[in-house]
Amino acid sequence: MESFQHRIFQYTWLMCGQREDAEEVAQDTLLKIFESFDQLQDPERVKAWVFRIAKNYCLMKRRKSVFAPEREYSLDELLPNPAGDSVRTVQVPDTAELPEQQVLRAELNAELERVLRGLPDLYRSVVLLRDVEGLSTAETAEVLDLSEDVVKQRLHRGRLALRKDLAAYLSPVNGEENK
Amino acid sequence: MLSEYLDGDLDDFDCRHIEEHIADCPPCIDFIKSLRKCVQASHDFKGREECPSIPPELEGRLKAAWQAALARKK
Repeated sequence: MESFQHRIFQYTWLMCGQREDAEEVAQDTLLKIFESFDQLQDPERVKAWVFRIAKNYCLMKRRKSVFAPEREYSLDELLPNPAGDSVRTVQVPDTAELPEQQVLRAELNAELERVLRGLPDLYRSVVLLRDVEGLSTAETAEVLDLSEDVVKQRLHRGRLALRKDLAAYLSPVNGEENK
Repeated sequence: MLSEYLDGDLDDFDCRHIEEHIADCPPCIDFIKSLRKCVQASHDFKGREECPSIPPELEGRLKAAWQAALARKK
């Protein structure tokens, strides 16, 4: 149950933004899951079912708060600047883990969390389910009540936004350019 | 379409179309590599190590709800 709880808590934390809210939503979600487990029609769809419940509790929690209006990113904002991205370059090699690489990986993990939390909700909700939790496009569409085409579009824009904000950690290392 | 390409969701025709373009376009290769790393970082995302413990009162309710669900399934 702890692993399951951890996944749900991580999702609710990244969606809610506040630890206290995330804890409350994660607990409500767990209780709802356990109390209504026999309503799960298709065990193959358990992940979508679980995250749909979590998403609904996150939405209920959010409705009680004040949020800035969301806006859609344009692709122009997200694609590379022809003059080059003006970011510092931290080169993260892909090879076997050395101590300094473990530090860089931890740094990337922390930075990714910060960037994920800063993504507009309509992109964050899709990226979390598709890329972090590993749901399929169809499952993500089902959880979020979106068409698969909208999921694909938001996923791509969300990824582009992450790439832009994480550019310093994603630059090719020396010797990698021609692989 | 690039995300679908990275996810392996494109058909052969569209894959070839992209690959023919990027073969002669180093900026596109770098772009796709960085996007792929970005997706991989999300897949590998560990999140916070610490996870709040379940309050004892709630844990009791969860166990009871789980047992009841199992009993209903039988």
